[in-house]
Parts: sequence; structure tokens; C-alpha cells
Amino acid sequence: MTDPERFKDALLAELQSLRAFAISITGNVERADDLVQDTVVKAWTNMNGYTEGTNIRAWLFTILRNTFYSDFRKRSREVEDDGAHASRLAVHAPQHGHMDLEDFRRALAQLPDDQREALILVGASGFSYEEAAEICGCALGTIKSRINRARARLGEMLSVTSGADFGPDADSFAAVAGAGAGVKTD
Amino acid sequence: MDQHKPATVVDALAARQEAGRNESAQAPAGDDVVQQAIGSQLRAVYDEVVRLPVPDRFLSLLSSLDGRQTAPAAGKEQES
Repeated sequence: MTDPERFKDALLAELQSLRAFAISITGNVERADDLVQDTVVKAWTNMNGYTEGTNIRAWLFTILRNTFYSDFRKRSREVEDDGAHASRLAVHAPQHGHMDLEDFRRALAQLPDDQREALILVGASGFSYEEAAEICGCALGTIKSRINRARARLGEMLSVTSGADFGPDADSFAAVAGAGAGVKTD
Repeated sequence: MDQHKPATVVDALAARQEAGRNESAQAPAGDDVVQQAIGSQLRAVYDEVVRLPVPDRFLSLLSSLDGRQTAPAAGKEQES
């Protein structure tokens, strides 16, 4: 039996992480917040499904991700096409992001969704490969290969970038790239 | 190769290129440097997002969950 007060404290402590993960998979702060809200309510309702002593962040991320892929994505697809998804973590860059991370942000935004997700779970959120596999509902080998491909692809993209001459135009290029690679805008 | 840690992946790649030029052979160690730079930039980019302040709506949501084990059916638009 899960103690509701302790559970609530744990939820509170994980809000920032949940929100960051939600932003990274929805690419949109408003939708991310709706997703986090649904996740919190679901988690609360199912708190007895959580085994105390296990990694609550992994448990919450699993709920969030399942919520996104089961009902959330369908809903948001009806509202707009995938164009808005392309910016991802680039969403926040212009206001207060560091410019020296701009190239990286742009490259990250261009990774396939599954590769970016795996990379973020293991490389940025501190999950083990095993936990990431569980969160994504796939095999360990799949996670490993997604991460390897993501790293290789980032290396390629950024080496192309470093070859190009980024002068004063870097900003405007970032703005264009933020709209997505090869996405038709209308 | 010099000791300073490249700040970005781009720097790391540039350093690798430089090393390649000097040694005329490929520098396999350069790949590690690039991967390290990718790792640290990934964390830096993601941490910026993690550190965003959590909107008040979540704090009120959590306190509204107090003592209730059943989900409030539609608690979405309850901005006060």
C-alpha cells in the first residue's frame, strides 16, 4: 500500500523531470503541460501500482510516455500536422538558451524521435539502458542501437556544421532550421 | 594533442581535424572526445529545460489531489 503523502512528495519532486521529458517528446510546452497533468492524475489514481523502493521516476516516465503514444498523439495530430514537432528542445532556445549550444540543439531536433528519446533517457536523464528499455517498452538491444545511431548521426551532423562557415548568419539559419528539416510550411 | 577540454562538439571535431592534419593519420582517440562533447552538450541542453520553473497549476493540482484516491474526471480548466 502506497502512502499518499509520501507519494505526493515524490510526484512533486519529479515534476521538473517529467515536464522536461514531456517537452522533449511533444516539442510544445502547452501540450507538454497537458501531458504532465494527465500523467500526474493517472499516477495518483494508480499509485498502488507503484512498488515502493523502485525507481519512481522510471515509473512516472513510463506512464507519461504511454499516455503520449496512446491518446495524446492522436489528439494532437488532429489539431496540427507534424511540422510543429520538429523544433523539440529548440523550443526554448531563443529566449535564454546559450548560443554555443545552438548547433547542438538544432542537430538534436533533427534526430528521429525514437533515437532522440533513447539518447535523452540514457544520456541526459540518467536512466540505465535497462530502465530506458522498460520505459520505451522495447528490447535492450534496440535501445543500445538507437543510442549508437543517435550519437553517430549527431557526430556527422555537427561535423558538417563545423565545416560550414557559420558567420553572422548563424542566427537566421537557426531560425530556419528550427522550423524543421524538409518540413513543408504553409 | 593538447590538454584543454573542447567546449562543444564543434570544437572537438575541429580539434580532431587539427590532430588528423598534424599526424597525417586518423586519430581514433578523437572519437572519444567527440562523444564526450556530445554527452556534455546533451546534458547542458536538457538541463536548461529541466530547470524551467514549474507552473503553479501543478502545485494546485497536487494539493487538489489531497486525500482523494479517485481521479477528478475533468480537472483541466480549473484556473482560479
